[in-house]
Amino acid sequence: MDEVHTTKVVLLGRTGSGKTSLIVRYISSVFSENVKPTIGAAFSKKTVQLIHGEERKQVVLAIWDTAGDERYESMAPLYYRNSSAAIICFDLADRQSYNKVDFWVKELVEKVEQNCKLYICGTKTDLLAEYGGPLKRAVGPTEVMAYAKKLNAKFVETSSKSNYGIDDLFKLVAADFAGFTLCEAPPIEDSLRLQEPNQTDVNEKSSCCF
Amino acid sequence: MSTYSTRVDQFKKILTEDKLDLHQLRQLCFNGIPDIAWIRPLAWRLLLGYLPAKRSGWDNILKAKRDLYDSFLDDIIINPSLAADDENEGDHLHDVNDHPLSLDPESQWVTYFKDNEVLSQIDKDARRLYPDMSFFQKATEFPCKKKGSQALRKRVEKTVLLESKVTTNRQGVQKIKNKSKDQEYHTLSEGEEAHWEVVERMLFIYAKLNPGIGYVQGMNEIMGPIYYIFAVDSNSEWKRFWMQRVCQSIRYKDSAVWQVLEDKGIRPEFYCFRWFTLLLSQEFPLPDVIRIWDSLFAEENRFEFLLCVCCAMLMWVPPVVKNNLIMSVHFKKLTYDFTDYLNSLVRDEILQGEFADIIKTLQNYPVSDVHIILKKAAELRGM
Repeated sequence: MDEVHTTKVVLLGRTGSGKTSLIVRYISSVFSENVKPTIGAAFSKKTVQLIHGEERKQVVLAIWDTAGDERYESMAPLYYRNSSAAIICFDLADRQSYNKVDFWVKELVEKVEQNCKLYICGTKTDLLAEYGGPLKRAVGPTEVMAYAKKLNAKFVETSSKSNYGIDDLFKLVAADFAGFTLCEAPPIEDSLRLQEPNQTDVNEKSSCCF
Repeated sequence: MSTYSTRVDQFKKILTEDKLDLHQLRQLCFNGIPDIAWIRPLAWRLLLGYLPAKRSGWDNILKAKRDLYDSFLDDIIINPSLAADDENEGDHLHDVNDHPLSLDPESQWVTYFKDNEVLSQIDKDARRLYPDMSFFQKATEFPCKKKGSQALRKRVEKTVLLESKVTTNRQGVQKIKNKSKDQEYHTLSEGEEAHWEVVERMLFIYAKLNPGIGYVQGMNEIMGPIYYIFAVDSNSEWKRFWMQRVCQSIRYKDSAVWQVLEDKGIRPEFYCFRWFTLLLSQEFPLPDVIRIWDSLFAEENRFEFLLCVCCAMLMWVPPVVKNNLIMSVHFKKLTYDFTDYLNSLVRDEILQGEFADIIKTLQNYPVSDVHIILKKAAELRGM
């Protein structure tokens, strides 16, 4: 019998950053242009199978999708408490949405959840010019990478519309939780990281301060 | 009834003025304060002189007092225990001249151990505060999040263990299991803090600040009601107040359902925040929402009735097929018998389901006959 573990994952981020779409894509494999804003929080779960050589594990992800509206921020601790992972989402084409990431990071890191692993998720890659979309990147990948590195967080990019990177993201969350390195399976983390430097030249000028 | 509501109106009028008439407030309060969420906490703060009559200064005063308490926390609890925990960095405690066995009265270690004696007394009393009420054993919504603040209870847990060795001696060798004394108290998980622990911290800080008085048994009893009133103040979040009411009502009206929700850790915020915030408009299809609002708008005590509707939703409702994602195994099991299926209730789901299934069902409420819900809600209101 496989070992089964349950872990709590919370999604945070500015309103309209695509948290609910991400979950809906992951759980139900569909995408809708008109998702209602989340009020309070919505719960869902999905089981991830991990295989690493001889070892097999099942991780049940109990996922809390939270409200993005600032009026509901005071409710957030009720939902992120005791999470082992937090996925902080921002819209890659919206600077304001990226600025909010730091708010949630501080909230989690400084206040309570020391054991919570952080994942910074840039959403809506399909909207970006480099993927054939209409918009420019609002935040250069090197800036986000440097920020994520400083926090010991992982940075991934997804598109709920074109179903890009989403299964990988949750597999990564599950693998980190189970202590799997994921090197036998396709090296998800690396593949995600690898593509960042290739794109850095696009509109990276002053934002990198290192 | 009319006299009660006029009284409530009088309170509301007085308490919302810019400069409050304390004399009039005292007269009103003398005959009792209505049990309306925010009135008593505010009135007590005024009567006890914690807040002045002039409303404009309240924010600053509250902030100043909270900051002051915060600095007490740092100086009295956090810094000493951090130093004691931290083997490498607590320089004054690891001074060669200052060590745990030092006899020097100035020794930090001597103070630390003395404090623990007081703390252990406070700890015993605080744990027993209103033992017949569950409130003080429950986790507070506002635990102290400072690093090192968790150490207070643990500081004396060690002391409790030492003491239980003594009782072992008295009772003979066989009674050595006595040392697991702390198991008789339910301890909360890391990062959570029970209300009694907050009381404990306040009493300890008071004892340290007033060394002439220290801690005298019985102080906890005085602290208890005041703390209780201020802690249940729901002024800031009336929705929280209503959500707690749902919880209380369900306990009273259907204790089996309440027990399961409680045991599985399904807090009202997990399902009825949206119910209340959106007046159920996202839980049902539009025609049903409109029907519910007919009743809601017609009802004089609309939120009381909304509360009954929420309880009815938890207790009585026959679900009809919505989508198989939501339906748990328990429902599927019943599909072969259609009659049974129609009669199965959300209640059954709650009683038999696991955390995830219950939450999913409540957050994606199954399509149901809204008339039955309203009928049941009206019955509950009459109860």
